[in-house]
Amino acid sequence: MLLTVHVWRQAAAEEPGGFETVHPVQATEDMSVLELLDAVNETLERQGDEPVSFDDGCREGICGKCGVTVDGVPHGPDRNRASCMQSLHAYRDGDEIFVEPMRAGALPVKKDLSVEKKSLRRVSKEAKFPVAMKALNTAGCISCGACIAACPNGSGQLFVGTMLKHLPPLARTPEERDERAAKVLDAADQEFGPCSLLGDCTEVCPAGLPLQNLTAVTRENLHRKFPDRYPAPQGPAPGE
Amino acid sequence: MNPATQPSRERTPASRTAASPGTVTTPGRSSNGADHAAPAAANAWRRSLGAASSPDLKLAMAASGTVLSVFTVGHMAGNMQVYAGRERYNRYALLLRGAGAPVLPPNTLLWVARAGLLASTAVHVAAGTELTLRSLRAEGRTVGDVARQTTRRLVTLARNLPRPRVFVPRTEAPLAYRRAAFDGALLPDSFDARAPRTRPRGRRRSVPQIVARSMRSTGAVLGLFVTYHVLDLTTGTRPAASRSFEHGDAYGNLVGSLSRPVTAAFYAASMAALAGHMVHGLHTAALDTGLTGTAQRVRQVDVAAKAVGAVVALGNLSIPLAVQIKVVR
Repeated sequence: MLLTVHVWRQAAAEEPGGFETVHPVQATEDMSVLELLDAVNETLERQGDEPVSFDDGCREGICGKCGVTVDGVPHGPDRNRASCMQSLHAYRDGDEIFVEPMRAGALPVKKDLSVEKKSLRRVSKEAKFPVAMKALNTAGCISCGACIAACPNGSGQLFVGTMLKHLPPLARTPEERDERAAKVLDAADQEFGPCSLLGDCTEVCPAGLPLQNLTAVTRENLHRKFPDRYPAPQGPAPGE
Repeated sequence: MNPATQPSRERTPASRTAASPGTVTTPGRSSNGADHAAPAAANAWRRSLGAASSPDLKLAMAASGTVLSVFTVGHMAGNMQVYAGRERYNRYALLLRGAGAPVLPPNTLLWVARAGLLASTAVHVAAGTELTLRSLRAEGRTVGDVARQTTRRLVTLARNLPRPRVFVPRTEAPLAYRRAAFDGALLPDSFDARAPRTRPRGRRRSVPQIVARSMRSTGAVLGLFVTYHVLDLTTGTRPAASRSFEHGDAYGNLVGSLSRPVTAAFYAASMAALAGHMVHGLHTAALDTGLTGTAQRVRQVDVAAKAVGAVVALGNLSIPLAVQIKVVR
């Protein structure tokens, strides 16, 4: 099928950006979004334009590097798939597609479609980076940032909640546990917006993280404020 | 300034100043006390609400919202006595005024309850405003962006409304082009960088999703409704109240007010807003107090919130309906 792709062009972080219309783009329905962008670049090169730059990684849905917004939906039209694992079954011959970078205050645009995902890393670092990575790996989170981009509040509560949920078993002492959780809560509050339980994050998350992970943030906060009334959450239940 | 406040929080002090209640900033006016009053209010806002963390503000929202929800449930249950007749209903109204009668002077408990409700409303609105501003900042949007988007969306909605098709014979295409109003900003086809896109097939938003992201608009409707409701049935201020308003005759006032079709329709519409606001609000309150720890709990809370919202809205909705079809008169 032939598609018209409106692709976001932005020379640098501070420059103003806008859509550039690329036509025609030869695509098939089983292409991923990144393969569509490859096809866009082919058309651009044939027309003698500079190819569009986008985040690209393993193309197996496990590195968490990729991610663009397709028609207002982070990652693309399929639920719970990274951009590289999407398909174009939602589109028909002659359709127009808008491809933009992931949109959030915490994910500033670097160039064209690639964004800076350091805010996720900054929050992870507060919990001792290897430990945080271990917690996120246990849950299956690949730190792609789609939850933040999907949220109309720019909230990363699915990411933060998942980390906080899986952190406790990795701490040696209760003090260490509380300290890490408090640091993560503070960092998350600085980087991301508040959660309104809209559930958009769970629809885009490539790991399919569930809505109840959001509660880990509020539980840790309650435990921090009232340690006597709210005992420390002890991580996920077995088999969860 | 609070040293703990990070730069990301201070990025747009102007928008926060503009949104803080009771602050009227007049940029043109220099000198006088008015110039000092605005920063003082902004400072107070920054020190109280701005210093609180988002989960804490959400807790405040949950607490005040729960108070208001409990009141709404009680209010609805009490109002069901309208079906038991004039005498019973007016006795109930008197009971509320004279609660704690032998010990306390009349109206004491009533005013305590009113003060509590007003305080809850104030906390709810203030915390909600601060959270909204934070979410805008986290999304990298400004209040102006949101206003522009809302206008665009409303215009698109108005244009897409079904309208009667009238056959117009085709004429020659006009040769001269007219410049579009507002430089084409209101044209739905001209896309700007931040305008919402049409979501792909299979990913269009469902009604519950739309209701969930309409908390601010349903909240605004409820604020207007409560104001009107108090003027109508508590103070009896014309023209909000009906012509037959009479202090002490709660039943007669209710029937007099709701027998006006426009008022009845407004009450009914407000109850729809109340249902939407309560369903998502109760669900969120459960999240913010850490009740939804497992998938099963999430489902239970969802069902419970929908049940409470539906019961309150349907109970309240039945009254204007009953008055309109003359079951209650």
